[in-house]
Amino acid sequence: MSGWRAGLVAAAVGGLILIVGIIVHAVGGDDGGPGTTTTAASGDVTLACVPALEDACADLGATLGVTTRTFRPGTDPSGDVVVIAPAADLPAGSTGTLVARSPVALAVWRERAVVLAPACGGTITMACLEGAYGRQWGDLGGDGAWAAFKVGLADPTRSASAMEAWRLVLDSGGVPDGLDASLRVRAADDAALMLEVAQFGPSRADAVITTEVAIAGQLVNVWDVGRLEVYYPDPGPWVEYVASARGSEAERLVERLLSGEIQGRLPALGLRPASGEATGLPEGLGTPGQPLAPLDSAARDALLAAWQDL
Amino acid sequence: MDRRQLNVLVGLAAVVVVGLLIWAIAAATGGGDDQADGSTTTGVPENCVEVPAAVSSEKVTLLTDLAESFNATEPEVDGQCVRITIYKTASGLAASELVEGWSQADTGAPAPVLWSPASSAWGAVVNHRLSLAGQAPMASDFERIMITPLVLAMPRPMAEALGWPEAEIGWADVLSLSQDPEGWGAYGHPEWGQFKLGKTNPNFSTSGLSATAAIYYAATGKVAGLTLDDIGSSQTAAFVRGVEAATVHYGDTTMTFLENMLREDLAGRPLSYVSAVAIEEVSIIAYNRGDPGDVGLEDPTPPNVPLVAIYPKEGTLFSDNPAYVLDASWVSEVQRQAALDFRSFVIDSPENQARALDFGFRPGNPAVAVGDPITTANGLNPSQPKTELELPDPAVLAALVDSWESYRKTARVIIVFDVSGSMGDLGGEGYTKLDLAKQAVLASLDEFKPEDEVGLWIFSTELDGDIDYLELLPPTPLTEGRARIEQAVAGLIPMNGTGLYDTTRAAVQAVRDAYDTTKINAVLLLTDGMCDDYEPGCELEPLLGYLSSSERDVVRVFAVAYGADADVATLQAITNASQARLYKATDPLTIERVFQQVVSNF
Repeated sequence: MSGWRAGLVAAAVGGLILIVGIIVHAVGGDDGGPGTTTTAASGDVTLACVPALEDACADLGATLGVTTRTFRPGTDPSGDVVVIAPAADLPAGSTGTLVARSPVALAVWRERAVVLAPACGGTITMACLEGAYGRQWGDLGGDGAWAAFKVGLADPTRSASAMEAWRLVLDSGGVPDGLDASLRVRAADDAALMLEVAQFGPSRADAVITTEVAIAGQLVNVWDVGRLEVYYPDPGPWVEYVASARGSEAERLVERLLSGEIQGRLPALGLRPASGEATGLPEGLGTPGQPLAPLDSAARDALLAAWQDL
Repeated sequence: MDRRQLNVLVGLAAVVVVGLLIWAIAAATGGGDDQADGSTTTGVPENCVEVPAAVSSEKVTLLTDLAESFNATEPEVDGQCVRITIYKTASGLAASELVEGWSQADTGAPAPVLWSPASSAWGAVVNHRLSLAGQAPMASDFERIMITPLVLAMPRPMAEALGWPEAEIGWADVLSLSQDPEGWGAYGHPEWGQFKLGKTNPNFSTSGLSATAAIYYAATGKVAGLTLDDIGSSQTAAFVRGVEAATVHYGDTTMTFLENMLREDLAGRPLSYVSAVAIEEVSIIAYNRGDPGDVGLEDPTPPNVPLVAIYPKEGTLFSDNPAYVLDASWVSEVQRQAALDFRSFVIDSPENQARALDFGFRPGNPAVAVGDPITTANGLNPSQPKTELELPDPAVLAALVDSWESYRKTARVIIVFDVSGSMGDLGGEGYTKLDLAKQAVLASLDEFKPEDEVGLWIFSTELDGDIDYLELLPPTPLTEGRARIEQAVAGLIPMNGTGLYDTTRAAVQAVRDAYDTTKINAVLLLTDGMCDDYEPGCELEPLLGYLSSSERDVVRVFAVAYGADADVATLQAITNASQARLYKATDPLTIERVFQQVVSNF
C-alpha cells in the first residue's frame, strides 16, 4: 500500500475513532470549555450542570444571578459550587437533593413516525422500534431513499441518564435483534446526541432515545429539517437530577432551587420539577409513563456489559 | 544523499505513518500554486496576545470576516488584550504539521491555537497518529462551525431532463446514463452528447473520497457496514467501472471543474464540459454567484445556466467543519480562553451563524434555521439529504481506494517535457531545474496504473531539423513502457530554445489522431519559459483556436509553469482553451509535489 493509501486508512481510522475524540472531549476540564455560560454573578457560588441541562441552567443562572458552567461526569469541580446531575454522576462521596426530573422518551421524525405508527397501534413504542431494527425503510412501508432504519443513543458508560435510555432499549431478552445494524449514532452525552440530530436531521438518525429535557432543548430548532414527535414509554425510566452543594453559599442556592418560583420555572425549560407534576412544558412534549424502579448495581453491570459487547 | 535517496528514506520512515498522504492531500487542497498561505487578518497591536487560527480555504473568507468583527470588540482575557488572526492552511497540511512539529516556514503561519479543517476526520487523524507515537490527543475539543453535504451538481436543464426536482436521482442513474449508447439522446437531448462526470481523485480530495465511497455504497445498496467482500464483488466492480467510465478527468480539487464550467458557460457552451460534478453543496452557491472560488469577487458574472443539487438517492456524506481548540504545548491559558471565546462568538451567536449561511453553509448552531440561500429557488433542498452514509472502516476504505485504482478510467497521456537551455539553470539545493523535473517525472510514474498509456516527448528548438520536438515514446501501457521512459528521462540534457506552441499543437494532434473514447486523453506539458521559436513562430491565437475546437471531446492540456520565468499567462490560456488546469511550481523544489497533483487528473 502506498503512503497515500496508508494515509487514507488513517483518515478512515480517524473518522471511526471520532467517538474517541468526543469522549475525550467529554472528560475534559470542568472549569470551562464548550457550553460554558457565564452570567452576571451576585456571589462566588457557581451552578454546574450536566450538558443536557446547560440551557436550563443558563436561564436559572440569569434568574438567580450566579455563574453557570458545564459539569461533566467523572470530574470534580472545586470552589463554592452547586452541581446538578443524576446522583450516580456526582463526584464520589457527594450527595444531593432532588431538584428536577426528566423521563426518558423516544423522539422520531414525524414523516417517519407516521409510517411506523399504524403497525404499532397508532403510536411509537419500544417494541415498534425493535421491529424496525436492521430493516430497510422500503420494507417498512416508507420511502426507499430513507434507506436503513437508524437510531441514536448516548454512551451509557459516560452518564447515568444515558444508562437509563440504554436500559429502555434492552428488552428482557438482551440486545434486540438488528440493533447493532441500526445504531448509527453513539454520542458522548444526551446534549451531544440531540445536537447531532438537529444538525444533520433525519439523514443521521430516524429515532433517538434520550431524556425529555435533552429533546426539549432542540425541539424548536429542527423545524426547518422536519418535526420531531415525542413518545413516552409506560412504564419508563425517569432521570432524577439532584443538586449537590459545596460551601455555605451553595447550600443557600440549593434552597433557592427548591423555591416555588424556580420549580415553577422549570417546565418552560423542558424540565419537570422535583414533584414530577408539570404544567407549561414546551409544545411537543406530553404525558410520560409511570417511573420504573431504580436500577440496582447488578442490573447496571449487566447493561454495561451488553453495551460493551455490542 | 540525493533527493531521491532522501525520499526513499522518508518513505521507509513512514512505514505506518500516514504523513505522505497527509502531505499529498495538503498539497492538493492547497491548490495548484506553490505560494505559501498567510494571514488574512490585520496586524496584532503590540500589547496584545496573538491567537492564531489555521483555517481551511473554503471558509477562510467567512472566518476572516468574523475575526475582524470579534477583534473590533477589543476582546480581553483576564485583562490581557487578545486578537484572533486567521491563516489559510490546507486541512491535510495542518494535520501533518500538528503531528510532526509545526513549521512556520512550511505553512506560512504560526502554530495555531484554534484549528478548523474541512472535516472532523482530520482531527481524528491527528489524534490517531499522536497515539501511535505514544502522545496525548491534541484535537479533542471541537464544535462544528457549519456543515455541507456532498452532492451531484448538474446544469439545471440536464437535471430537469432526468426528472429533477421531483424524481429521486442517484448514482445508479449516472451508471445507466453513462452506459447508454444514446447518451443524452435517451432523454431527448442528443445534442448534449454522452453523459460526462467530473469527480476528483480520492487519493487527493476529500470530495473525491466521499464520492467514491458513495459510489461503492450505491453498488451494494448499503448505507453502512461496507465490507471487504462488498469491495471485491463482481457486481461492485461492474458498477464502479461503469460510473468511472463517464469521468472526463479526475484531479486534486473541485475548483478545476467549477472554473472550467463557468468559463465554458460564459463562452456560450454551458453544457459542453461536464454533465455532473461531485462537489459540496456550498460550492453550488458560490458557482451560481459567479464566484466559484468564493473569493469575494467584486463584480462576479453569474453563469447563464445555474447548477442544481442532486442529493443521491443512495445517500451521501457531510463535511462538518469543526473548530478545535488545541490541547498543545504552545497554547497558553490566555490563548485557549480567547479561542474558546472566539469559537463561541462564531457558533453561539445567531447573527454570526447567519453569516455562515450567507456563504452557503448549513449553520452548525441548530438554533439558526437552514434558509436562504439554501433554498429550492437556488436549486438546493434543505430537507435533503435523506440518508447519510457511514464512513467505511479503515481496512475497507483502504481496499476501496486500492480497487478504485484499477476500476478508474484509464488514461492515455503524452508527457511533453521542456529541455530548453534554461532547464540547465540551478533550481535549488545544488540541482538544476532539469534534474529536479526529471526526478518528479520518474516519481510520478508510481501514480499511474499499469494499464495507463503514457508517452514521452521532449521539446526545445530544432531538435529534428526545423522540428522542435521529439517523440521518445508513443503512448504505451506503463507495464511495457516504464523502463523506456525511465531510461529516456535519465539521459535528458538541456538544449536550445523553447518551441512551445508548435510542440503543444503537435502533441495534441497526436493524441487526437488516436483518440480513445474509453480513456482520458490528455497532454501533460511541463515548461520553464516562454515561446521563443523563430520558425514557425509564436502566434498564440491560432493555437488556442485549435485547442478549443474538436469534433470529439477536447484533448486536455494540463500544464506546469515551472520556475520563476515560465510564461504563466500563456499557459493559463492554453489550459483554459483545452478545459484543463494550470499548475504552478514557481519554486523548482516544489516540482515533485506539483507534478503529482497534475497526475492526479488521470
